[in-house]
Amino acid sequence: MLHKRWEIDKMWLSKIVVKNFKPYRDETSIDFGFPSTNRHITIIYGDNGFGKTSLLDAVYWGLYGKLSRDTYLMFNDDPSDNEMFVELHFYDEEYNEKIIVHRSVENKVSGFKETLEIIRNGEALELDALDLQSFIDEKILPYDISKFFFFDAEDIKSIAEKQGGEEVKESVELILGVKTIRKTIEDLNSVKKEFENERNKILKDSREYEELNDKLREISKQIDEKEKRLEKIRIEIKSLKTKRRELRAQLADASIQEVREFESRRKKLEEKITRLNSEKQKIKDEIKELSSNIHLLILRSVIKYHLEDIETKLKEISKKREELENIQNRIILLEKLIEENKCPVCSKLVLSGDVEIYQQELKELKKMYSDLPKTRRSIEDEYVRISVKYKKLKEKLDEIDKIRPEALFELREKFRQIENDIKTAEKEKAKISKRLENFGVSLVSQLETKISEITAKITQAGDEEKRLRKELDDLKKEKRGIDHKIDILAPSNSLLGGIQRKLQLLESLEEALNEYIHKLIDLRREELITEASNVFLKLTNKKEEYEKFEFSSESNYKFQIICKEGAKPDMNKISYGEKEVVALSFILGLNKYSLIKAPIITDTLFGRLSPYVQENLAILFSNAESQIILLVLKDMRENGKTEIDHLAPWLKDKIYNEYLIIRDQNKRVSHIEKVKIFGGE
Amino acid sequence: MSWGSKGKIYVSSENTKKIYDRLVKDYPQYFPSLSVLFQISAAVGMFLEKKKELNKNVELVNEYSIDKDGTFALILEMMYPDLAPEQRLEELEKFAEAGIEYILKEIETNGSFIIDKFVYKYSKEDSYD
Repeated sequence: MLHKRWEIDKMWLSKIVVKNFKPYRDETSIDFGFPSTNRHITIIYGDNGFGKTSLLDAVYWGLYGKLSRDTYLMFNDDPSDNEMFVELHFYDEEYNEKIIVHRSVENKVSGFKETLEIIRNGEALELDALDLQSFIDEKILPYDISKFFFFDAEDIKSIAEKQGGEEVKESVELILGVKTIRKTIEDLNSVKKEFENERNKILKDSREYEELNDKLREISKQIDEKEKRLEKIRIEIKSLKTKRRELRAQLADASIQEVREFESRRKKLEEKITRLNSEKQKIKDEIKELSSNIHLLILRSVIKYHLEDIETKLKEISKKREELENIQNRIILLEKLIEENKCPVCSKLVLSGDVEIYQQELKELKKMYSDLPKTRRSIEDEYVRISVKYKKLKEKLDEIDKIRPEALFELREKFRQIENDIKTAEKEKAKISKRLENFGVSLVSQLETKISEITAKITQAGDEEKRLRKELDDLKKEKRGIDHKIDILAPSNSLLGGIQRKLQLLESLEEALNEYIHKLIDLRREELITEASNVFLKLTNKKEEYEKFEFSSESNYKFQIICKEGAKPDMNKISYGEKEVVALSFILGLNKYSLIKAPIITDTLFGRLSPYVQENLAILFSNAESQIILLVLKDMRENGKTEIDHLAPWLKDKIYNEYLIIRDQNKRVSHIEKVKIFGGE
Repeated sequence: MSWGSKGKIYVSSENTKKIYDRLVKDYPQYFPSLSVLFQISAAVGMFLEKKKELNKNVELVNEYSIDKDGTFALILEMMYPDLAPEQRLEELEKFAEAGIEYILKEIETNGSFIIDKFVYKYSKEDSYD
């Protein structure tokens, strides 16, 4: 059932009747009447524990079957009086309607039985329990936002602590009308579901047709994709082949051939140089071996010099040896001649005068060569010693003469030749390298590598093309088969299209509504911020400091105060009193902004607030358009004060009537009496 | 043939050592090793009958590598019959010192030291002249 939410404007609570509800055992009623806009405030006084909050609970429970906090309902012990009820009388000023909500619970043997009745202009609504509850939500006040209308200091505390957020978001969206639109979307979905059911019914009959259609669509999609892919591959292959042709043309270019030739020559030269170096090393080793006695060739002349010297010495010694031998022989001859007086050689007699001469000669010789044998031995030894050296040197000379330096000289020549060859090859290689540098480093090998890579890619793409062709052929064949089957089944499915179109239309509508919700939130959120800011600036004691109230970002509903210079104070760091002012501003701003004019009922609200804020709140309440019911703490002793005594100047002219909760301490029951404390009408 | 307990062959300076190294590096076909160059230097020094005193000893090669067939020892024994083997080796070093100086001078003057020609010419002529 859909309702226009703004039908529920200006809803006044005119009467509360309770029985057996918490401390109000006897039937107790509070008649608020139909206050005018000039006097719209009702005050109910009571001390702690007398039943103020129970009255707030009565309103909650009466409307929603729930209590405002974790308390419980109590029945009295009298079995004959075991019914509990709350009755709330509302007056819809705009539509001049009287609505009575009566909720009761009977304590039966079988258990509790809860009943809800709604009487509209004297007639009971014939609706089931759920619809009756929906009626309350839609006509009087939705449960989800009731906490912004019926609240006590604890509720303010709770909102202040949370500083807005998800909980607030839901409530705000409800007030913005988002919930109604969401309900519309839900209704659309219900309709959609009906169509879907209808479609499913048809589909059930021709499931095969639909399946075939799905399959056909899927296959067609696959064919499309594969054809696109195939086309892409063909283009790719074409492009690769073009590129390969270009590269091959470059390779075939004369200059490239030249490069190849040069590279080949360079490679050959490198091989030659390596070979020559190896040969050079080999020759060097041979030279080293042969050079170990090359100095002997120089020493040959030195040896020869010494040999000559020795030869001279040997000759001298030989001559001396001969001389000494001759002397020895002469001495022997003279001795024999003197002894025999005749010549031992020719036996000729020697004259006596001559003997004396020979004696004289012998004497002189013996005197001159006194140790002739020793001298001869010494000369002999010298000769032998020098002869040995001579022999050694002679042998060395013979050895040296056997050395053939030509082999070494040939090797050296060969070595020189190889060195020249290496130099020439190196020179040529450098020349070629320089030429190659001009052609670009390894251009040919780069081109060849690129060509190889492209060829590999072409092969790969070709394989894929082949595979795709086969897959496409298979798919087309399958498609032809399905087409044929569909042709046979098609006539029975003409209704399906129509339903499908309706479903699409509903989906579009749903999409549009969702979009509308977003736009609505964007648009009306600002209006809410303006109202909350107005309240905030009226309540706060820092008007000079603060600019406005805001939500911290577009996507969340966290409270944020903005200072005059645009700064955003950390909401976690502001004082608790300020947090409460912010929360209260939001509640009252939301309340004022919303199109719901349900009564505001507050329970012991003022005591927690600073005097400054209390005064500002009193001014706000006195100027409110809604009905205000204040549950106020009062000291029950004689002349006992109330929590709002000091606010009388702002409130008293707006008070329509006042009530006092009286507690019978013995019976532990409460009842209510009308009083005149501030001076209502 | 032993040269006593010296064991090493010395040249007169670091600079001379560098000359040895450079010649071996630049003329490997003539001086394939330090030992060969020392032998040639000593032979040249002897041939020229020139010696040069060593002021400072810088190690060049091992003693055993320079006279494996004992020719130097034989000649020096002829030349210095009264000296001890170690002293003869020192004389050999003096010849080598003069010889390397000559070889270097030749290279600096003529751009090369044609040892083949030097050896051939003088070795075939049985004369110092």
